[in-house]
Amino acid sequence: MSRRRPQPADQNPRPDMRMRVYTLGVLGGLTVLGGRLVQLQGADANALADRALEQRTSETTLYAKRGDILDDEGVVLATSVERRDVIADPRTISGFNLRNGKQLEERYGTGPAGAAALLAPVLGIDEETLTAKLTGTNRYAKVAVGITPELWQQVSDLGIAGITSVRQTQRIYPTGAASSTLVGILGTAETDAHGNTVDKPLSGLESADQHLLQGRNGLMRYERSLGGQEIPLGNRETTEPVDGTSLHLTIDSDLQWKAQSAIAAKVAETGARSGTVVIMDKEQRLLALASAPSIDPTNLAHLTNAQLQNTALTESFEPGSTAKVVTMAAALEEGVDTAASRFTVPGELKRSDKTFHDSHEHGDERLTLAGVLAQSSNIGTILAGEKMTAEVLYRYQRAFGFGSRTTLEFPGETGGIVAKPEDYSGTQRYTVMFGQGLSVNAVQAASVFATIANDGVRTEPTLIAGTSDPQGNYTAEPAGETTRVVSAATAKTLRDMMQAVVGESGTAADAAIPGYLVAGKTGTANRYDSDLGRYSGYTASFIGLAPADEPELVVAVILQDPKTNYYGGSAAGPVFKDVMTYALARRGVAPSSQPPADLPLTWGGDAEAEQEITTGAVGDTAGQ
Amino acid sequence: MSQPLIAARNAPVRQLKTSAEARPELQVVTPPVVRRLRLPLPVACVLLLTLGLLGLLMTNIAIAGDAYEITDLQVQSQRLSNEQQAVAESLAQQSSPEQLARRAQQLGMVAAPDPVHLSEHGVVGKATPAPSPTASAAR
Repeated sequence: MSRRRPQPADQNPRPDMRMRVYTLGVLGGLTVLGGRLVQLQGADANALADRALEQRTSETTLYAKRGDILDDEGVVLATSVERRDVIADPRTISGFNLRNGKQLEERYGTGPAGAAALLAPVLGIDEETLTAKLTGTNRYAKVAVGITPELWQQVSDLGIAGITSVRQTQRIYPTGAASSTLVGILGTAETDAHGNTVDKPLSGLESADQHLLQGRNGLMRYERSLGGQEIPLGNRETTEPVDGTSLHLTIDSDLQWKAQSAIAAKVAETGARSGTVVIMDKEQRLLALASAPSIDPTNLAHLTNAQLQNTALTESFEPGSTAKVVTMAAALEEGVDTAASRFTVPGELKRSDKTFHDSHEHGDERLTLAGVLAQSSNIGTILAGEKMTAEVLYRYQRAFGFGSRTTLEFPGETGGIVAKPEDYSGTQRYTVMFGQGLSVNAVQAASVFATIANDGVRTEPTLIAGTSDPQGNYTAEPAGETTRVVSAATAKTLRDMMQAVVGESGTAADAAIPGYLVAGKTGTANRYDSDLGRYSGYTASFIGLAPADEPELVVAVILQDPKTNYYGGSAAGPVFKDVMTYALARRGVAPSSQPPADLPLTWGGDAEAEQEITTGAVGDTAGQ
Repeated sequence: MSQPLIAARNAPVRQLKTSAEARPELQVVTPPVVRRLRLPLPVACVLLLTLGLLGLLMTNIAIAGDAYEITDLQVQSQRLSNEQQAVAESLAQQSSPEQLARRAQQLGMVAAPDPVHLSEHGVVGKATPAPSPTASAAR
């Protein structure tokens, strides 16, 4: 810069001036730059850093898995799977395989048509339809719904810009219609106020145990590079997802399927309105709760409320003659009668303002208490039952579980109606003895027989054996509470008496199972139709336990309003036999080793005892 | 000047307690051999800095490389879990009682009629031949 030779002072001052101008210029420039630097670093630094962080921060939802529903052996009844919806951005796709209007790759076409040609074979959609979907200036078009992740992988491997996916979960029910009314249906997910998707169960256990099954989604925020890799040592915060709890049921899916297919076939055959099969063991663990009509969970297009109901718990009905067992149990336990007590049963019986009949015309019959039950005589039951006060009978009805809901907490469950003696109207005092004028659900009806199978001790019915948390720790549910209802001796006498029902002179020879002693009871009741508001049609039922000498299983078969055949013995009996035979084999129950009880059904050497009666009793309507 | 130094300066010089006749002999000692660095100090500093920076760079490269590897493994893990889910789903579908029954019927199998039991009392029950399969599928 400085010159070697000193300049004379009186020379042209221009160089000096030039120097100053330069200096000022440089200083000015530096000041501007410095100022800007101060502005950026001092004032806007935080805002800029935040913007940069936002650009490279990515949020990912970590999805929680809804709990599974499994049967007693771990067979899956309901599970959640991941599905993808394919979304297209037509505006981006319009430039497929093009750059500045020139084709990039010779192999592929260009624009929507080119993209569709690639996509259509993978997705299995018609190419023209797909082209139409991909054409447009909008930014969102749904191309496919609910494809498997594997298929989405293939789509994503094509690498078409503008094709993205949205993750969905889908609930699948491998056992289909067999257990859909029990397990329930999960409707479409909805978005709540916080923007989280919430499953909306429609029915069954999915709805009852929603709080257990539903998980909580997590969130991961991390800094990502352009290629999608996580930037090492960058900020990262993770909220772990919490999976739902899985339910282990007491249900045996094989029995459930067997029961469901048997009752569905019978409902179709008899033109019944609905049908139910309940299978439980003597500790009242529910092994099957089948209900027809049922719904195919893969096809919810024509869903009706009736198809969603599990009628075993949600429908109450007047049980009819199967409730005579309660009256008999009370008579034996109170000591007013024994199985051999003698009754002279007239052809008709006048009580209060009504004349009662049996299901068939007869003169005076000499029957024992066992005979009254075997032939399902209404009049005989009244003669036995009226030896006790209404309060005593009411106490037994309640002790056997009638009139109060089970502890299953199933959605829509009904507790049935059992009137208190002080509220009886007309002939109700007598009709409740043979099961009219009170209503129960199928599980309550089966529960009476399980109590008798369990030597008089009633266990609260259970449906859920245990739960397992997301870590897989299994927690057994507490066993149902037990109460003694009748003595072991009374229970045994009742089992012996009920063996005659499937005997030759009983009302349900169709229900006999070779090799096993069966104790059971038919029911053919007048059905109260709530739509019509009056009695119309019948409820045909058969409930039984086997083996009668060492009871293991109880099966209840109930048909509502069958049109072609409404007798409990001949309509429900065969279903009982079919299902019980299968269940005994499936559970590995050994055949009976004891001879049949063969209690005397008549007394006084009456030849009339030889006559075969093949019909169940039709109870008289209660004067409501 | 700090206090200790002033104190030291003003302190009386301690005399060695030697006899006046025997004066200490002073000898010339050779200085100890100083290990000379082969490298001049500035070069050493630069080298150390360079090595440090190089190490840092290598570590960073390794971490970045691992990030890529993690991403690749995550993709692979996603693929495998998709596959696993698909297989589990298909197993659940095929092992449902309904499907098993249908497959058995397709193979011409029928449900067993009344089973016969062998017990200590001999044969219990009566063996009946299975009905020949007809088109009436129990659905």
